[in-house]
Amino acid sequence: MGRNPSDLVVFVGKRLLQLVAVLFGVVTITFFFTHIAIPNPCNVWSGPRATEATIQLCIHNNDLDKPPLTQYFSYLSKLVTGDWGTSPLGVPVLPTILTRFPQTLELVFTALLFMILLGIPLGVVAANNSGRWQDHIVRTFYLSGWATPTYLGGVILSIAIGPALGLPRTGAFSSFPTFPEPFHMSVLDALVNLNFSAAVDAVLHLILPASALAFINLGIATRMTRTSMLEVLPMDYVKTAKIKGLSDFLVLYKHALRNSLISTTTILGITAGGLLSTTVVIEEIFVWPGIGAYAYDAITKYNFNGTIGVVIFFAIGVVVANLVADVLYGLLDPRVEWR
Amino acid sequence: MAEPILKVEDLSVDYEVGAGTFHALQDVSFEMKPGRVAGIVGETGCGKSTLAHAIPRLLPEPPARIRRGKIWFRGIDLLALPKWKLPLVRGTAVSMIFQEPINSLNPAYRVYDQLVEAVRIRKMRETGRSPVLFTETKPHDYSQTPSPKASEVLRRPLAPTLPLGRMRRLVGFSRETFRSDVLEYLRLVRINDPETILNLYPHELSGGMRQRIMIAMALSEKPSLLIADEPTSALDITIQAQVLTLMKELMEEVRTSILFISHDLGVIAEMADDVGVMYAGHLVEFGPVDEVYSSPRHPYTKALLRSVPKQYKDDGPLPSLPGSVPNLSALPAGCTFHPRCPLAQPVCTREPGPPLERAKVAQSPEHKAACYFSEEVESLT
Amino acid sequence: MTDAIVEVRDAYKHFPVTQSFFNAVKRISKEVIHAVDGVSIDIREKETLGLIGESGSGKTTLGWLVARLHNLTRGTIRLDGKDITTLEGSGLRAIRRKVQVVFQDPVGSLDPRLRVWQIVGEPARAQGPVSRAELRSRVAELLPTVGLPGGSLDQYPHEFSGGGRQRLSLARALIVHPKLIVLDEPTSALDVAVQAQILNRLVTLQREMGLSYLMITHNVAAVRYVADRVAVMYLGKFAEVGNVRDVLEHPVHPYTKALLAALPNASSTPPWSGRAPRCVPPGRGNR
Repeated sequence: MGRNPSDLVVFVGKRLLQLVAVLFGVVTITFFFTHIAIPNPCNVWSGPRATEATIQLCIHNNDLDKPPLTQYFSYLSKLVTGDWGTSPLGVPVLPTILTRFPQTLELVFTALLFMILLGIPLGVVAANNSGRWQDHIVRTFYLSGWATPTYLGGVILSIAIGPALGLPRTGAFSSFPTFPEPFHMSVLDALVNLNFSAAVDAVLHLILPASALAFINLGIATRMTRTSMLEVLPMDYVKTAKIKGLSDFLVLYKHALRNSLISTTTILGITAGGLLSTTVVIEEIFVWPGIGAYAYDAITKYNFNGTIGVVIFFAIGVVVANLVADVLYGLLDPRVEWR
Repeated sequence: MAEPILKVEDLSVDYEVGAGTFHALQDVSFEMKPGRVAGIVGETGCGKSTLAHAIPRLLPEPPARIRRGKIWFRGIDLLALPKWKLPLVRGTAVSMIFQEPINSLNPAYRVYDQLVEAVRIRKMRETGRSPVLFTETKPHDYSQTPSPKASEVLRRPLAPTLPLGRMRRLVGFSRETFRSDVLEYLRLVRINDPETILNLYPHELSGGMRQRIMIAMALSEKPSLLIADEPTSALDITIQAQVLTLMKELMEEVRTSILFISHDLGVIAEMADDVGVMYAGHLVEFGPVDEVYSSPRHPYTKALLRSVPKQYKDDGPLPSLPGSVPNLSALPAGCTFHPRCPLAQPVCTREPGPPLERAKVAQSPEHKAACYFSEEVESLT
Repeated sequence: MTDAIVEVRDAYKHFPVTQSFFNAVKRISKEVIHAVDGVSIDIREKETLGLIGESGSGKTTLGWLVARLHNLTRGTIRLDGKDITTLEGSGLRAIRRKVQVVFQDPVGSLDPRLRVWQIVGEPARAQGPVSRAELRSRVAELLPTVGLPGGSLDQYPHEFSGGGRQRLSLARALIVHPKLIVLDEPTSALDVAVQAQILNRLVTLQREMGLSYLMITHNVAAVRYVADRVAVMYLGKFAEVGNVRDVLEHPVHPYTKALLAALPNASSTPPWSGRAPRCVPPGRGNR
């Protein structure tokens, strides 16, 4: 009876196999979309004053004179061996993404942390005072976050609120000292190098972009928690917890919240994947050196290899976030079987 | 006679919902003597479950609203307590078992974790680590129990004071401290294999097993009053018999006062010493169960008792009560039962129903009924 | 036997054990639940057969098999001497006129968006085209026979109490003038006072209309009053079948004895303890 830990391994393994299929599809779709939309990017790549000969050379160098399927298969075979190509300026794609992706992860995790630490308790407060003024304030707060367009929220934070609080407006660390960067995450790197002033500086730089990212999606965590708490609170086991003589705090957070988190986790997993794509806008506004800004840059400069590379990482992020949510779901709810 | 452990006075509860105000309880008054089992019986929507939830203040407010009344429990009016003091009443003083064993245990925690919470709360209160409202453990009496050995546990030394005594005082006891207590209470409810059960989740147990665990959980806090709200209605008939037998045996061993709510007249007859009959939010009759069942003094009680089918088809039609239960938001004027009552006189329509008072021509002084014509009930056929 | 309207011979019904994850990925294993495990019984004309047992005993499954709401795994069912075991389509619709079902849950079995005359008239419509006026007058005539006012044609089910809804279900079953009504726990959601009203009505209707009932219930008191014969079911098989007085007053099978002893009011404690096992073949333990 009960669950076997080995079931979990099989479950995760199956999902990772699915990831391979997802990645294949994503690469194929992006490849053909970019190549059909812009059949001859060499006009742009070679610059405004390029001669016909330069353009022809560019076309030849990039295999653009070959049939699309041939291009596709040769691209695929290089991709699998780890050669993700270069940008039009000759910068290799994979190393760039590998140094930039952790910075985005840092931003996303901080935003998620805000969402969990602020969004979930807000949902509990709203549900516990359902219909009263606390509930109305919380709902107004998260609905305003939801209704705000991403760029607007970011701009307001970066121009108005940030300076008022004395926070640095962008993620570009002008005053940043140089030290080895094992993780490419500013806070972690500073801590590993025991450079605490740099760590504080990095945290300050994180606050604005992370809150911009979190504010927009806070509503999802809060609303989900509120809804599922409203479902859980009338259950008999909440009454059982009360009749034991537990304090209201334990009844709410140990017994009721534990069960409503089951649905909140699923939503947070889906949201975490979505947060990655929101970083494209946020990183652009706050000049954050992650792959969101890189994606924007790659698309506007017809950097196909870069675009596909970013899309692969976004896809991995979405699938892994959902996988983590599913595993957490099972850990939270003992009735779920790994299948 | 001992002081009543619970004294409900003029308790009136309304539900305010979109469709109107529902008078779920109207001037309900009764007393419970310590160590006795009081049954409350009535049809769906008569307010018996509202009464059960009102005593430990578990009613959701809103929509429920306690309009009037007092609930005296060991000298304290529970309705006058501030909200933050309510947890101190629950568990060690008043505990409760619910109807649906499927929903009454938290699906996310193992049986052990849920039981240990209850034991821990009691120990914290007994040792003065957390505040209490009621100091002495009277009238709850475990000393007569041969098999559960609860008193023995109490004589065991408490957790030793370590250098970190202050810290431990705040943190309380460690998780494993109470393992033996938890096992003991599982054995008390006749669970044969408590070690295995401890590590299971509620969904891995049957309904009867879950209800046993609920009983163990409630008893492990040694409440002076246990409220059982239809504890066996969701169980199969043979499982119901097992759980009822268990509860009867435990009543001998543990001697806690029990308020037993049920719609089943047979279950009440088996379990209760006293019985209260409710109709449309009113307590219409209260008295020793044998007396109420053998010579009811309210026409509704009589009709209810006769509705239980005891005959075969060829014995003729079942005696049945015509009409249906009134809508609680639009109760009839006068006595709420008068539209269905064979004894109804003009006075029943004009005047509100009489208060619950000593029934005329009743055997014992404890037998009370709320009817102007209680002496005529006997003549009804 | 000549006067039997339903003859069940050696009926089996097995359900595969399904387990689901998020209710999405369904997996069918080779394990089966033996819900009905080889039973044979007749239901005679103008007779009530009571079927009692605990949850999981297979009593509801057997009732549904008789009404052909489930298909048999093995065995035969004859209705009025005609084999209906494998009927489909129009043949199945024809037997719906002879066999009707009243379900346990008076809330869930009535469509909340339909009016009384639509709900009650539904089975008649399913048998063939009927004009609206004709149907309405037919329903209006029928409602008083189940104790509802004839003027409530245009009300919705939520306007009725639990007993009122169960009367509606009964009227819906009666409108096609069936020979047999399968009563699936008809009173278990009702209070005793209402239950007595409904049970009386059932008996009166049976006398007036010459109906047969198959009454599925765990309520022994209700069966005592309504049934002529009783079958006690346990783990998909009959433990005991016989005249109602014989079975309830002089039970022979130990399970029947235990079941009757378990009734509250009985002074003695049940002679055995332990939980009824589920009907899964050995090898898969359950607590």
